[in-house]
Amino acid sequence: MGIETAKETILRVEGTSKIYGTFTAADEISFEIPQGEIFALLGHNGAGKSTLIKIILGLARPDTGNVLIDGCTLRQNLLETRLKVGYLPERLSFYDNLTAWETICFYAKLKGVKESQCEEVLVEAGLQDAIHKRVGAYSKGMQQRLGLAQAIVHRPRLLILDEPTTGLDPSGVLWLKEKIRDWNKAGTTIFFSSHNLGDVEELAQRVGIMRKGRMDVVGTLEGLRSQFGLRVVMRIKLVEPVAEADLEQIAGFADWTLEDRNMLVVDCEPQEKGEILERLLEAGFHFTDFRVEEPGLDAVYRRVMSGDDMFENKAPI
Amino acid sequence: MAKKEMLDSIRSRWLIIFAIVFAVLALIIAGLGMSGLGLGGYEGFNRVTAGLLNLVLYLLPLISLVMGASSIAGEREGGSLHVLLTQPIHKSEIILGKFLGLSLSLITALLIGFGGAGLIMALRSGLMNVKDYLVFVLLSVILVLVFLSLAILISVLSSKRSQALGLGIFVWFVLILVYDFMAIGVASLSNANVVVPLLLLLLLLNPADMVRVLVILQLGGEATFGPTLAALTRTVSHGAGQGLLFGILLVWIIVPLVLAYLFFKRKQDY
Ligand SMILES: Nc1ncnc2c1ncn2[C@@H]1O[C@H](COP(=O)(O)OP(=O)(O)O)[C@@H](O)[C@H]1O
Ligand SMILES: [Mg+2]
Repeated sequence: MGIETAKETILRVEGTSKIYGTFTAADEISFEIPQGEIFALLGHNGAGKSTLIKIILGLARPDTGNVLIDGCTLRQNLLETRLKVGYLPERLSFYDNLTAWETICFYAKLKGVKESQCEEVLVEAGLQDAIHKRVGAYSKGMQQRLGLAQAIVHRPRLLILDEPTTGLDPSGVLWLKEKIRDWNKAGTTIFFSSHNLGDVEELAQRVGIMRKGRMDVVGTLEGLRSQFGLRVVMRIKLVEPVAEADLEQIAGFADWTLEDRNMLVVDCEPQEKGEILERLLEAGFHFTDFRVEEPGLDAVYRRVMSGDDMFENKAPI
Repeated sequence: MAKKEMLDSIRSRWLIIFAIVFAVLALIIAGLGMSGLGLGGYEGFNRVTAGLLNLVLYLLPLISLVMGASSIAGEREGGSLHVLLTQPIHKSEIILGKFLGLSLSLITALLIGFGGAGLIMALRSGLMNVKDYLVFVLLSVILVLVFLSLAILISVLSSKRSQALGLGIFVWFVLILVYDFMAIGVASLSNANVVVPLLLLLLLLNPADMVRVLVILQLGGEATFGPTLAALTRTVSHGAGQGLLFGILLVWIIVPLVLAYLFFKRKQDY
Protein backbone atom coordinates (compact mmCIF):
# COMPACT_ATOMS: atom_id res chain seq x y z
CA MET A 1 0.00 0.00 0.00
CA GLY A 2 3.07 2.28 -0.10
CA ILE A 3 1.93 4.13 -3.18
CA GLU A 4 -1.68 4.34 -2.06
CA THR A 5 -0.97 6.40 1.01
CA ALA A 6 -0.47 9.47 -1.17
CA LYS A 7 -4.19 9.32 -2.00
CA GLU A 8 -6.77 10.25 0.56
CA THR A 9 -8.77 7.43 2.03
CA ILE A 10 -12.47 8.18 1.69
CA LEU A 11 -13.72 5.04 3.38
CA ARG A 12 -12.03 2.97 6.03
CA VAL A 13 -13.70 -0.01 7.64
CA GLU A 14 -11.96 -1.33 10.72
CA GLY A 15 -12.86 -4.80 11.94
CA THR A 16 -16.62 -4.42 11.90
CA SER A 17 -18.89 -7.30 12.77
CA LYS A 18 -22.63 -7.61 12.92
CA ILE A 19 -24.30 -10.47 14.69
CA TYR A 20 -28.01 -11.19 14.39
CA GLY A 21 -28.83 -13.49 17.24
CA THR A 22 -26.50 -16.39 16.65
CA PHE A 23 -25.92 -15.59 13.00
CA THR A 24 -22.84 -13.60 12.02
CA ALA A 25 -23.86 -11.47 9.06
CA ALA A 26 -20.60 -9.53 8.96
CA ASP A 27 -17.45 -10.96 10.41
CA GLU A 28 -14.47 -8.74 11.27
CA ILE A 29 -14.44 -6.87 8.00
CA SER A 30 -11.58 -4.45 7.30
CA PHE A 31 -10.67 -2.60 4.12
CA GLU A 32 -9.99 0.84 2.72
CA ILE A 33 -11.06 2.71 -0.35
CA PRO A 34 -9.00 5.61 -1.70
CA GLN A 35 -10.74 8.68 -3.02
CA GLY A 36 -11.63 8.41 -6.70
CA GLU A 37 -11.90 4.65 -7.02
CA ILE A 38 -14.68 2.43 -8.32
CA PHE A 39 -14.94 -0.44 -5.89
CA ALA A 40 -17.26 -3.39 -6.29
CA LEU A 41 -18.51 -5.65 -3.56
CA LEU A 42 -19.22 -9.12 -4.86
CA GLY A 43 -20.93 -12.05 -3.24
CA HIS A 44 -23.81 -14.49 -3.30
CA ASN A 45 -27.20 -13.51 -2.00
CA GLY A 46 -27.01 -13.50 1.76
CA ALA A 47 -23.25 -13.05 1.80
CA GLY A 48 -23.64 -9.93 3.90
CA LYS A 49 -23.17 -7.21 1.29
CA SER A 50 -26.19 -5.19 2.29
CA THR A 51 -25.37 -5.67 5.93
CA LEU A 52 -21.91 -4.23 5.38
CA ILE A 53 -23.38 -1.30 3.48
CA LYS A 54 -25.88 -0.62 6.23
CA ILE A 55 -23.08 -0.62 8.77
CA ILE A 56 -21.12 1.86 6.69
CA LEU A 57 -24.13 4.14 6.48
CA GLY A 58 -25.00 3.87 10.15
CA LEU A 59 -28.27 2.06 9.44
CA ALA A 60 -27.11 -0.93 11.43
CA ARG A 61 -24.99 -0.63 14.51
CA PRO A 62 -21.93 -2.88 14.31
CA ASP A 63 -21.14 -5.12 17.25
CA THR A 64 -17.43 -4.50 16.83
CA GLY A 65 -15.24 -2.12 14.89
CA ASN A 66 -15.47 1.29 13.32
CA VAL A 67 -16.27 2.96 10.06
CA LEU A 68 -14.46 6.13 9.04
CA ILE A 69 -15.76 8.22 6.19
CA ASP A 70 -13.21 10.80 5.16
CA GLY A 71 -11.51 10.22 8.49
CA CYS A 72 -14.64 10.77 10.59
CA THR A 73 -17.10 8.44 12.21
CA LEU A 74 -20.78 9.30 12.00
CA ARG A 75 -20.82 9.84 15.72
CA GLN A 76 -18.11 12.49 15.54
CA ASN A 77 -19.70 14.52 12.82
CA LEU A 78 -23.11 13.26 11.79
CA LEU A 79 -24.49 15.89 9.45
CA GLU A 80 -21.32 16.77 7.57
CA THR A 81 -20.39 13.14 7.09
CA ARG A 82 -23.88 12.29 5.86
CA LEU A 83 -23.56 15.04 3.26
CA LYS A 84 -20.44 13.41 1.86
CA VAL A 85 -22.29 10.22 1.08
CA GLY A 86 -25.01 9.35 -1.41
CA TYR A 87 -26.90 6.08 -1.02
CA LEU A 88 -29.11 3.94 -3.19
CA PRO A 89 -30.67 1.15 -1.12
CA GLU A 90 -31.32 -2.30 -2.46
CA ARG A 91 -35.03 -2.15 -1.73
CA LEU A 92 -36.31 1.21 -2.77
CA SER A 93 -39.52 3.06 -2.26
CA PHE A 94 -40.69 6.63 -2.13
CA TYR A 95 -43.79 8.54 -1.15
CA ASP A 96 -46.36 7.40 -3.66
CA ASN A 97 -48.42 10.55 -3.47
CA LEU A 98 -45.59 12.90 -4.37
CA THR A 99 -44.34 13.65 -7.86
CA ALA A 100 -40.72 13.05 -8.84
CA TRP A 101 -40.11 16.76 -8.67
CA GLU A 102 -41.52 17.05 -5.15
CA THR A 103 -39.60 13.98 -4.07
CA ILE A 104 -36.26 15.27 -5.27
CA CYS A 105 -36.94 18.73 -3.90
CA PHE A 106 -37.75 17.19 -0.54
CA TYR A 107 -34.42 15.37 -0.36
CA ALA A 108 -32.59 18.37 -1.79
CA LYS A 109 -34.04 20.54 0.94
CA LEU A 110 -32.94 18.11 3.63
CA LYS A 111 -29.48 18.16 2.11
CA GLY A 112 -29.42 21.91 1.68
CA VAL A 113 -29.17 21.74 -2.11
CA LYS A 114 -30.64 24.36 -4.44
CA GLU A 115 -33.74 23.60 -6.52
CA SER A 116 -31.89 24.27 -9.78
CA GLN A 117 -29.87 21.13 -9.15
CA CYS A 118 -33.04 19.09 -8.80
CA GLU A 119 -34.06 19.78 -12.34
CA GLU A 120 -30.56 19.05 -13.58
CA VAL A 121 -30.39 15.72 -11.81
CA LEU A 122 -33.84 14.62 -12.97
CA VAL A 123 -32.82 15.31 -16.55
CA GLU A 124 -29.60 13.44 -15.92
CA ALA A 125 -31.66 10.50 -14.69
CA GLY A 126 -33.70 10.58 -17.87
CA LEU A 127 -36.91 11.40 -16.04
CA GLN A 128 -37.59 14.78 -17.62
CA ASP A 129 -40.81 13.58 -19.24
CA ALA A 130 -42.28 12.29 -16.00
CA ILE A 131 -41.23 15.02 -13.58
CA HIS A 132 -44.77 15.87 -12.53
CA LYS A 133 -46.09 12.36 -12.44
CA ARG A 134 -46.87 10.69 -9.13
CA VAL A 135 -44.06 8.40 -8.06
CA GLY A 136 -46.65 5.77 -7.18
CA ALA A 137 -47.30 5.41 -10.91
CA TYR A 138 -43.61 4.92 -11.72
CA SER A 139 -42.22 1.64 -13.02
CA LYS A 140 -39.53 -0.17 -11.06
CA GLY A 141 -36.85 1.09 -13.44
CA MET A 142 -38.02 4.68 -13.15
CA GLN A 143 -38.04 4.44 -9.37
CA GLN A 144 -34.50 3.14 -9.55
CA ARG A 145 -33.50 6.14 -11.64
CA LEU A 146 -35.20 8.44 -9.17
CA GLY A 147 -33.30 6.70 -6.40
CA LEU A 148 -30.05 7.39 -8.19
CA ALA A 149 -31.06 11.01 -8.72
CA GLN A 150 -31.68 11.29 -4.99
CA ALA A 151 -28.30 9.72 -4.23
CA ILE A 152 -26.32 12.05 -6.48
CA VAL A 153 -28.25 15.33 -6.20
CA HIS A 154 -25.84 16.79 -3.63
CA ARG A 155 -22.79 15.57 -5.60
CA PRO A 156 -21.40 13.46 -2.76
CA ARG A 157 -17.78 12.41 -2.56
CA LEU A 158 -18.73 8.82 -1.89
CA LEU A 159 -21.60 7.12 -3.69
CA ILE A 160 -22.81 3.83 -2.23
CA LEU A 161 -25.06 1.75 -4.45
CA ASP A 162 -26.59 -1.50 -3.26
CA GLU A 163 -27.23 -3.69 -6.31
CA PRO A 164 -27.95 -0.71 -8.53
CA THR A 165 -28.77 -2.64 -11.69
CA THR A 166 -31.69 -4.60 -10.26
CA GLY A 167 -34.94 -3.39 -11.74
CA LEU A 168 -33.32 -1.60 -14.65
CA ASP A 169 -33.99 -2.68 -18.22
CA PRO A 170 -30.98 -3.32 -20.50
CA SER A 171 -30.81 0.25 -21.72
CA GLY A 172 -31.08 1.39 -18.12
CA VAL A 173 -28.14 -0.80 -17.22
CA LEU A 174 -26.08 0.69 -20.04
CA TRP A 175 -27.09 4.17 -18.94
CA LEU A 176 -26.12 3.42 -15.36
CA LYS A 177 -22.70 2.10 -16.32
CA GLU A 178 -22.03 5.22 -18.33
CA LYS A 179 -23.20 7.39 -15.44
CA ILE A 180 -21.02 5.54 -12.98
CA ARG A 181 -18.02 6.24 -15.17
CA ASP A 182 -19.03 9.90 -15.59
CA TRP A 183 -19.55 10.48 -11.90
CA ASN A 184 -16.30 8.75 -11.18
CA LYS A 185 -14.47 10.96 -13.68
CA ALA A 186 -15.92 13.96 -11.90
CA GLY A 187 -14.20 12.74 -8.75
CA THR A 188 -16.85 10.69 -6.97
CA THR A 189 -15.71 7.49 -5.33
CA ILE A 190 -18.13 4.71 -6.12
CA PHE A 191 -18.80 1.71 -3.94
CA PHE A 192 -21.33 -0.71 -5.33
CA SER A 193 -22.48 -4.20 -4.54
CA SER A 194 -23.44 -6.68 -7.18
CA HIS A 195 -23.74 -10.31 -7.99
CA ASN A 196 -23.28 -9.69 -11.68
CA LEU A 197 -19.69 -10.58 -12.54
CA GLY A 198 -19.83 -8.94 -15.96
CA ASP A 199 -20.86 -5.54 -14.60
CA VAL A 200 -18.21 -5.68 -11.94
CA GLU A 201 -15.45 -6.70 -14.31
CA GLU A 202 -16.40 -3.91 -16.66
CA LEU A 203 -16.57 -1.11 -14.11
CA ALA A 204 -14.57 -1.79 -11.02
CA GLN A 205 -10.95 -0.95 -10.45
CA ARG A 206 -10.91 -3.09 -7.36
CA VAL A 207 -13.22 -5.74 -6.01
CA GLY A 208 -13.91 -7.21 -2.63
CA ILE A 209 -15.48 -10.64 -2.47
CA MET A 210 -17.71 -11.53 0.45
CA ARG A 211 -18.68 -14.97 1.55
CA LYS A 212 -20.70 -15.89 4.61
CA GLY A 213 -20.15 -12.52 6.20
CA ARG A 214 -16.44 -12.41 5.55
CA MET A 215 -14.54 -10.22 3.18
CA ASP A 216 -12.32 -12.96 1.85
CA VAL A 217 -10.34 -11.12 -0.75
CA VAL A 218 -9.77 -7.53 -1.80
CA GLY A 219 -7.74 -6.40 -4.75
CA THR A 220 -7.52 -5.57 -8.43
CA LEU A 221 -8.46 -8.26 -10.89
CA GLU A 222 -4.82 -8.77 -11.86
CA GLY A 223 -3.78 -8.87 -8.24
CA LEU A 224 -6.37 -11.52 -7.49
CA ARG A 225 -5.46 -13.54 -10.55
CA SER A 226 -1.88 -13.83 -9.48
CA GLN A 227 -2.79 -14.21 -5.83
CA PHE A 228 -4.73 -17.32 -6.73
CA GLY A 229 -2.09 -18.52 -9.21
CA LEU A 230 -4.64 -18.70 -12.00
CA ARG A 231 -3.10 -19.89 -15.26
CA VAL A 232 -3.57 -18.38 -18.69
CA VAL A 233 -4.14 -20.17 -21.96
CA MET A 234 -2.17 -19.22 -25.09
CA ARG A 235 -3.40 -20.30 -28.49
CA ILE A 236 -0.52 -20.09 -30.95
CA LYS A 237 -1.08 -20.60 -34.65
CA LEU A 238 2.06 -21.97 -36.23
CA VAL A 239 3.14 -21.23 -39.81
CA GLU A 240 3.67 -24.86 -40.66
CA PRO A 241 2.05 -28.02 -39.34
CA VAL A 242 4.26 -29.87 -36.90
CA ALA A 243 4.40 -33.27 -35.34
CA GLU A 244 3.94 -33.58 -31.64
CA ALA A 245 7.35 -35.13 -31.29
CA ASP A 246 8.97 -31.97 -32.64
CA LEU A 247 7.55 -30.00 -29.78
CA GLU A 248 9.14 -32.11 -27.07
CA GLN A 249 11.66 -29.31 -26.49
CA ILE A 250 9.12 -27.21 -24.72
CA ALA A 251 7.48 -30.08 -22.92
CA GLY A 252 7.90 -30.18 -19.18
CA PHE A 253 7.93 -26.47 -19.21
CA ALA A 254 4.23 -26.03 -19.71
CA ASP A 255 1.09 -27.97 -20.27
CA TRP A 256 0.47 -28.13 -23.98
CA THR A 257 -1.64 -29.80 -26.62
CA LEU A 258 -1.65 -29.64 -30.36
CA GLU A 259 -4.86 -29.10 -32.26
CA ASP A 260 -5.11 -29.56 -36.03
CA ARG A 261 -1.33 -30.04 -36.18
CA ASN A 262 -0.67 -26.28 -36.34
CA MET A 263 -2.61 -24.85 -33.41
CA LEU A 264 -0.60 -25.03 -30.24
CA VAL A 265 -2.55 -24.55 -27.03
CA VAL A 266 -0.42 -23.83 -23.97
CA ASP A 267 -1.62 -23.62 -20.39
CA CYS A 268 0.89 -21.70 -18.28
CA GLU A 269 1.50 -19.19 -15.50
CA PRO A 270 0.91 -15.59 -16.62
CA GLN A 271 4.61 -14.64 -16.32
CA GLU A 272 5.75 -17.56 -18.49
CA LYS A 273 4.12 -16.32 -21.69
CA GLY A 274 7.12 -14.43 -23.08
CA GLU A 275 9.54 -17.20 -22.34
CA ILE A 276 7.42 -19.76 -24.17
CA LEU A 277 7.21 -17.61 -27.27
CA GLU A 278 10.96 -17.03 -27.23
CA ARG A 279 11.66 -20.74 -26.93
CA LEU A 280 9.40 -21.49 -29.85
CA LEU A 281 11.20 -18.96 -32.02
CA GLU A 282 14.61 -20.19 -30.89
CA ALA A 283 13.63 -23.72 -31.88
CA GLY A 284 12.59 -22.50 -35.28
CA PHE A 285 8.85 -22.66 -34.91
CA HIS A 286 7.40 -19.51 -36.42
CA PHE A 287 3.81 -18.47 -35.93
CA THR A 288 1.29 -16.31 -37.74
CA ASP A 289 -0.99 -15.45 -34.86
CA PHE A 290 -1.53 -15.97 -31.17
CA ARG A 291 -4.17 -15.24 -28.61
CA VAL A 292 -4.06 -15.14 -24.82
CA GLU A 293 -7.09 -16.18 -22.82
CA GLU A 294 -6.86 -14.64 -19.39
CA PRO A 295 -9.10 -15.98 -16.70
CA GLY A 296 -11.81 -13.48 -15.92
CA LEU A 297 -13.39 -12.49 -12.69
CA ASP A 298 -15.56 -15.56 -12.93
CA ALA A 299 -12.53 -17.79 -12.50
CA VAL A 300 -11.36 -15.77 -9.51
CA TYR A 301 -14.84 -15.83 -8.06
CA ARG A 302 -15.20 -19.54 -8.55
CA ARG A 303 -11.87 -20.04 -6.87
CA VAL A 304 -12.83 -17.92 -3.87
CA MET A 305 -16.12 -19.68 -3.50
CA SER A 306 -14.52 -23.13 -3.60
CA GLY A 307 -11.72 -22.22 -1.23
CA ASP A 308 -13.15 -24.01 1.76
CA ASP A 309 -9.78 -24.41 3.44
CA MET A 310 -9.81 -20.75 4.36
CA PHE A 311 -13.00 -20.89 6.31
CA GLU A 312 -14.25 -22.39 9.47
CA ASN A 313 -17.46 -24.33 9.56
CA LYS A 314 -20.47 -22.15 9.81
CA ALA A 315 -24.06 -23.10 10.20
CA PRO A 316 -25.71 -23.18 6.81
CA ILE A 317 -28.23 -20.45 6.16
CA MET B 1 -39.84 17.57 6.60
CA ALA B 2 -43.24 18.47 8.01
CA LYS B 3 -44.13 20.08 4.73
CA LYS B 4 -43.47 16.92 2.75
CA GLU B 5 -45.34 14.82 5.24
CA MET B 6 -48.29 17.13 4.91
CA LEU B 7 -48.20 17.04 1.15
CA ASP B 8 -47.96 13.29 1.19
CA SER B 9 -50.83 12.80 3.59
CA ILE B 10 -53.05 15.41 2.00
CA ARG B 11 -52.91 13.35 -1.14
CA SER B 12 -53.37 10.08 0.64
CA ARG B 13 -56.69 8.35 0.38
CA TRP B 14 -57.08 7.99 4.13
CA LEU B 15 -57.08 11.67 4.82
CA ILE B 16 -59.50 12.48 2.05
CA ILE B 17 -61.88 9.76 3.14
CA PHE B 18 -61.62 10.99 6.69
CA ALA B 19 -62.27 14.61 5.76
CA ILE B 20 -65.32 13.68 3.72
CA VAL B 21 -66.77 11.29 6.30
CA PHE B 22 -66.16 13.74 9.07
CA ALA B 23 -67.63 16.71 7.26
CA VAL B 24 -70.69 14.76 6.11
CA LEU B 25 -71.38 13.35 9.57
CA ALA B 26 -70.83 16.73 11.20
CA LEU B 27 -73.25 18.33 8.77
CA ILE B 28 -75.85 15.62 9.28
CA ILE B 29 -75.62 15.98 13.03
CA ALA B 30 -75.83 19.74 12.78
CA GLY B 31 -78.75 19.57 10.38
CA LEU B 32 -80.73 17.02 12.38
CA GLY B 33 -79.99 18.58 15.71
CA MET B 34 -81.10 22.00 14.72
CA SER B 35 -84.12 21.33 12.56
CA GLY B 36 -85.47 17.83 12.84
CA LEU B 37 -86.35 17.96 16.50
CA GLY B 38 -87.68 21.45 16.32
CA LEU B 39 -85.34 22.72 18.98
CA GLY B 40 -83.89 26.14 18.54
CA GLY B 41 -81.44 28.25 20.45
CA TYR B 42 -79.32 27.01 23.25
CA GLU B 43 -80.83 23.61 23.64
CA GLY B 44 -80.45 22.80 19.96
CA PHE B 45 -76.90 23.94 20.02
CA ASN B 46 -76.15 21.75 22.97
CA ARG B 47 -77.71 18.77 21.31
CA VAL B 48 -75.61 19.30 18.21
CA THR B 49 -72.48 19.63 20.25
CA ALA B 50 -73.29 16.46 22.10
CA GLY B 51 -73.67 14.64 18.79
CA LEU B 52 -70.48 16.14 17.48
CA LEU B 53 -68.72 15.21 20.67
CA ASN B 54 -69.52 11.56 20.17
CA LEU B 55 -68.44 11.76 16.56
CA VAL B 56 -65.20 13.40 17.58
CA LEU B 57 -64.51 10.95 20.37
CA TYR B 58 -64.92 7.91 18.15
CA LEU B 59 -63.56 9.11 14.87
CA LEU B 60 -60.63 11.37 15.71
CA PRO B 61 -58.68 8.88 17.82
CA LEU B 62 -59.25 6.23 15.18
CA ILE B 63 -58.05 8.24 12.22
CA SER B 64 -55.14 9.67 14.21
CA LEU B 65 -54.05 6.20 15.26
CA VAL B 66 -54.39 4.81 11.76
CA MET B 67 -52.48 7.59 10.05
CA GLY B 68 -49.84 7.95 12.73
CA ALA B 69 -49.24 4.25 13.16
CA SER B 70 -48.58 3.67 9.50
CA SER B 71 -46.20 6.64 9.26
CA ILE B 72 -42.81 5.35 10.36
CA ALA B 73 -43.64 1.65 10.27
CA GLY B 74 -44.87 2.12 6.72
CA GLU B 75 -41.65 3.78 5.68
CA ARG B 76 -39.67 1.06 7.35
CA GLU B 77 -41.60 -1.63 5.52
CA GLY B 78 -41.48 0.14 2.17
CA GLY B 79 -37.79 0.94 2.40
CA SER B 80 -37.94 4.72 2.15
CA LEU B 81 -36.88 4.96 5.78
CA HIS B 82 -33.37 3.90 4.76
CA VAL B 83 -33.08 6.79 2.36
CA LEU B 84 -34.56 9.16 4.90
CA LEU B 85 -32.18 8.06 7.63
CA THR B 86 -29.12 8.69 5.48
CA GLN B 87 -30.08 12.30 4.92
CA PRO B 88 -28.18 14.89 6.92
CA ILE B 89 -30.89 15.35 9.55
CA HIS B 90 -31.32 14.27 13.14
CA LYS B 91 -33.70 11.54 14.18
CA SER B 92 -35.59 14.03 16.31
CA GLU B 93 -36.38 15.98 13.15
CA ILE B 94 -37.89 12.89 11.58
CA ILE B 95 -40.18 12.24 14.55
CA LEU B 96 -41.14 15.87 14.93
CA GLY B 97 -41.61 16.33 11.20
CA LYS B 98 -43.92 13.36 10.99
CA PHE B 99 -45.88 14.59 13.98
CA LEU B 100 -46.26 18.15 12.74
CA GLY B 101 -47.03 17.19 9.17
CA LEU B 102 -49.72 14.72 10.16
CA SER B 103 -51.14 17.06 12.78
CA LEU B 104 -51.46 19.90 10.35
CA SER B 105 -53.17 17.80 7.71
CA LEU B 106 -55.59 16.22 10.16
CA ILE B 107 -56.37 19.53 11.80
CA THR B 108 -57.02 21.08 8.42
CA ALA B 109 -59.51 18.34 7.60
CA LEU B 110 -61.03 18.72 11.05
CA LEU B 111 -61.47 22.46 10.73
CA ILE B 112 -63.21 22.06 7.39
CA GLY B 113 -65.71 19.67 8.99
CA PHE B 114 -66.24 21.85 12.04
CA GLY B 115 -66.40 24.95 9.91
CA GLY B 116 -69.29 23.53 7.91
CA ALA B 117 -71.18 22.33 10.96
CA GLY B 118 -70.55 25.61 12.76
CA LEU B 119 -71.83 27.57 9.82
CA ILE B 120 -75.11 25.68 9.76
CA MET B 121 -75.60 26.21 13.45
CA ALA B 122 -74.73 29.87 13.21
CA LEU B 123 -77.27 30.31 10.45
CA ARG B 124 -79.97 28.64 12.51
CA SER B 125 -79.36 30.00 15.93
CA GLY B 126 -77.41 33.18 15.53
CA LEU B 127 -73.85 33.56 16.75
CA MET B 128 -74.42 32.65 20.35
CA ASN B 129 -72.14 30.15 22.08
CA VAL B 130 -69.25 30.87 19.77
CA LYS B 131 -66.87 30.62 22.66
CA ASP B 132 -68.17 27.21 23.72
CA TYR B 133 -67.90 25.99 20.19
CA LEU B 134 -64.33 27.20 19.82
CA VAL B 135 -63.30 25.50 23.05
CA PHE B 136 -64.85 22.34 21.69
CA VAL B 137 -62.85 22.67 18.49
CA LEU B 138 -59.69 23.32 20.49
CA LEU B 139 -60.30 20.20 22.55
CA SER B 140 -60.78 18.18 19.38
CA VAL B 141 -57.46 19.46 18.12
CA ILE B 142 -55.86 18.41 21.39
CA LEU B 143 -57.45 15.00 21.01
CA VAL B 144 -55.88 14.64 17.57
CA LEU B 145 -52.48 15.67 18.90
CA VAL B 146 -52.63 13.21 21.80
CA PHE B 147 -53.56 10.27 19.64
CA LEU B 148 -51.10 11.13 16.90
CA SER B 149 -48.37 11.25 19.49
CA LEU B 150 -49.41 7.83 20.77
CA ALA B 151 -49.65 6.54 17.22
CA ILE B 152 -46.13 7.64 16.38
CA LEU B 153 -44.83 5.84 19.42
CA ILE B 154 -46.67 2.72 18.25
CA SER B 155 -45.23 3.20 14.79
CA VAL B 156 -41.67 3.40 16.05
CA LEU B 157 -42.12 0.26 18.12
CA SER B 158 -43.57 -1.80 15.27
CA SER B 159 -41.60 -3.35 12.48
CA LYS B 160 -44.44 -3.65 10.01
CA ARG B 161 -47.27 -1.41 8.97
CA SER B 162 -49.84 -4.10 9.66
CA GLN B 163 -48.46 -4.62 13.14
CA ALA B 164 -48.60 -0.91 13.84
CA LEU B 165 -52.14 -0.66 12.51
CA GLY B 166 -53.25 -3.61 14.59
CA LEU B 167 -51.73 -2.14 17.71
CA GLY B 168 -53.25 1.27 16.94
CA ILE B 169 -56.71 -0.16 16.52
CA PHE B 170 -56.27 -2.19 19.67
CA VAL B 171 -55.40 0.95 21.62
CA TRP B 172 -58.44 2.66 20.13
CA PHE B 173 -60.64 -0.27 21.04
CA VAL B 174 -59.42 -0.30 24.64
CA LEU B 175 -59.42 3.44 25.29
CA ILE B 176 -62.62 4.28 23.46
CA LEU B 177 -64.83 1.23 23.75
CA VAL B 178 -63.69 -1.02 26.57
CA TYR B 179 -62.80 1.81 28.89
CA ASP B 180 -66.38 2.94 29.28
CA PHE B 181 -67.43 -0.47 30.48
CA MET B 182 -64.65 -0.39 33.03
CA ALA B 183 -65.82 3.01 34.20
CA ILE B 184 -69.39 1.78 34.49
CA GLY B 185 -68.19 -1.25 36.40
CA VAL B 186 -66.24 0.88 38.82
CA ALA B 187 -69.11 3.32 39.21
CA SER B 188 -71.48 0.54 40.18
CA LEU B 189 -69.37 -0.32 43.19
CA SER B 190 -71.21 0.62 46.33
CA ASN B 191 -68.51 2.33 48.33
CA ALA B 192 -68.47 5.97 47.27
CA ASN B 193 -65.10 6.60 48.91
CA VAL B 194 -63.52 4.15 46.52
CA VAL B 195 -65.52 4.98 43.45
CA VAL B 196 -64.60 8.62 42.99
CA PRO B 197 -60.79 8.36 43.34
CA LEU B 198 -60.81 5.25 41.18
CA LEU B 199 -62.84 6.94 38.52
CA LEU B 200 -60.54 9.91 38.69
CA LEU B 201 -57.55 7.66 38.15
CA LEU B 202 -59.26 5.97 35.24
CA LEU B 203 -60.05 9.36 33.81
CA LEU B 204 -56.48 10.61 33.97
CA LEU B 205 -55.25 7.48 32.22
CA ASN B 206 -57.51 8.05 29.25
CA PRO B 207 -57.07 11.20 27.21
CA ALA B 208 -60.30 10.65 25.32
CA ASP B 209 -62.29 10.65 28.55
CA MET B 210 -60.52 13.77 29.70
CA VAL B 211 -61.55 15.55 26.54
CA ARG B 212 -65.11 14.32 27.04
CA VAL B 213 -65.23 15.66 30.57
CA LEU B 214 -63.71 18.98 29.58
CA VAL B 215 -66.27 19.47 26.83
CA ILE B 216 -69.10 18.66 29.21
CA LEU B 217 -67.73 21.09 31.74
CA GLN B 218 -67.49 23.78 29.12
CA LEU B 219 -71.08 23.26 28.05
CA GLY B 220 -72.33 22.94 31.59
CA GLY B 221 -74.69 20.25 30.39
CA GLU B 222 -73.87 17.34 32.62
CA ALA B 223 -77.43 16.18 32.73
CA THR B 224 -77.27 15.07 29.12
CA PHE B 225 -74.61 12.51 29.76
CA GLY B 226 -75.82 10.15 32.41
CA PRO B 227 -75.18 9.93 36.11
CA THR B 228 -71.75 8.31 36.14
CA LEU B 229 -69.98 11.02 34.26
CA ALA B 230 -72.02 13.67 35.96
CA ALA B 231 -70.78 12.59 39.35
CA LEU B 232 -67.27 12.64 38.09
CA THR B 233 -67.73 15.96 36.43
CA ARG B 234 -68.70 17.54 39.73
CA THR B 235 -65.51 16.26 41.28
CA VAL B 236 -63.29 17.61 38.59
CA SER B 237 -64.97 20.94 38.23
CA HIS B 238 -63.84 22.04 41.67
CA GLY B 239 -60.97 24.46 41.78
CA ALA B 240 -58.04 23.75 39.54
CA GLY B 241 -59.59 20.58 38.11
CA GLN B 242 -59.83 21.89 34.56
CA GLY B 243 -56.32 23.25 34.56
CA LEU B 244 -55.09 19.91 35.82
CA LEU B 245 -56.84 18.07 33.00
CA PHE B 246 -55.37 20.39 30.39
CA GLY B 247 -51.96 19.92 31.93
CA ILE B 248 -52.26 16.17 31.84
CA LEU B 249 -53.42 16.25 28.25
CA LEU B 250 -50.28 18.19 27.43
CA VAL B 251 -48.23 15.50 29.14
CA TRP B 252 -50.10 12.96 27.03
CA ILE B 253 -48.94 14.77 23.91
CA ILE B 254 -45.32 15.20 24.92
CA VAL B 255 -44.43 11.96 26.70
CA PRO B 256 -45.26 9.51 23.89
CA LEU B 257 -43.37 11.68 21.41
CA VAL B 258 -40.30 11.82 23.62
CA LEU B 259 -40.50 8.06 24.15
CA ALA B 260 -40.87 7.58 20.41
CA TYR B 261 -37.73 9.62 19.84
CA LEU B 262 -35.77 7.69 22.46
CA PHE B 263 -36.79 4.31 21.07
CA PHE B 264 -36.13 5.47 17.53
CA LYS B 265 -32.68 6.68 18.43
CA ARG B 266 -31.69 3.61 20.39
CA LYS B 267 -32.72 1.20 17.68
CA GLN B 268 -29.86 -0.99 16.41
CA ASP B 269 -31.13 -1.76 12.97
CA TYR B 270 -33.43 0.06 10.65
N1 LIG C 1 -32.27 -7.66 10.44
C1 LIG C 1 -31.82 -8.91 10.28
N2 LIG C 1 -32.09 -9.86 11.19
C2 LIG C 1 -31.63 -11.11 11.04
N3 LIG C 1 -30.88 -11.52 10.01
C3 LIG C 1 -30.57 -10.64 9.07
C4 LIG C 1 -31.02 -9.28 9.15
N4 LIG C 1 -30.56 -8.62 8.06
C5 LIG C 1 -29.86 -9.52 7.35
N5 LIG C 1 -29.87 -10.72 7.95
C6 LIG C 1 -29.20 -11.92 7.46
O1 LIG C 1 -27.90 -11.61 7.14
C7 LIG C 1 -27.48 -12.27 5.97
C8 LIG C 1 -26.85 -11.31 5.02
O2 LIG C 1 -27.84 -10.52 4.43
P1 LIG C 1 -27.50 -9.38 3.40
O3 LIG C 1 -26.47 -8.50 3.98
O4 LIG C 1 -28.78 -8.75 3.02
O5 LIG C 1 -26.90 -10.19 2.18
P2 LIG C 1 -26.63 -9.73 0.69
O6 LIG C 1 -26.93 -8.28 0.58
O7 LIG C 1 -25.20 -10.04 0.44
O8 LIG C 1 -27.52 -10.55 -0.17
C9 LIG C 1 -28.71 -12.96 5.41
O9 LIG C 1 -28.58 -14.34 5.65
C10 LIG C 1 -29.85 -12.40 6.19
O10 LIG C 1 -30.79 -13.41 6.44
MG1 LIG D 1 -28.20 -7.35 -0.55
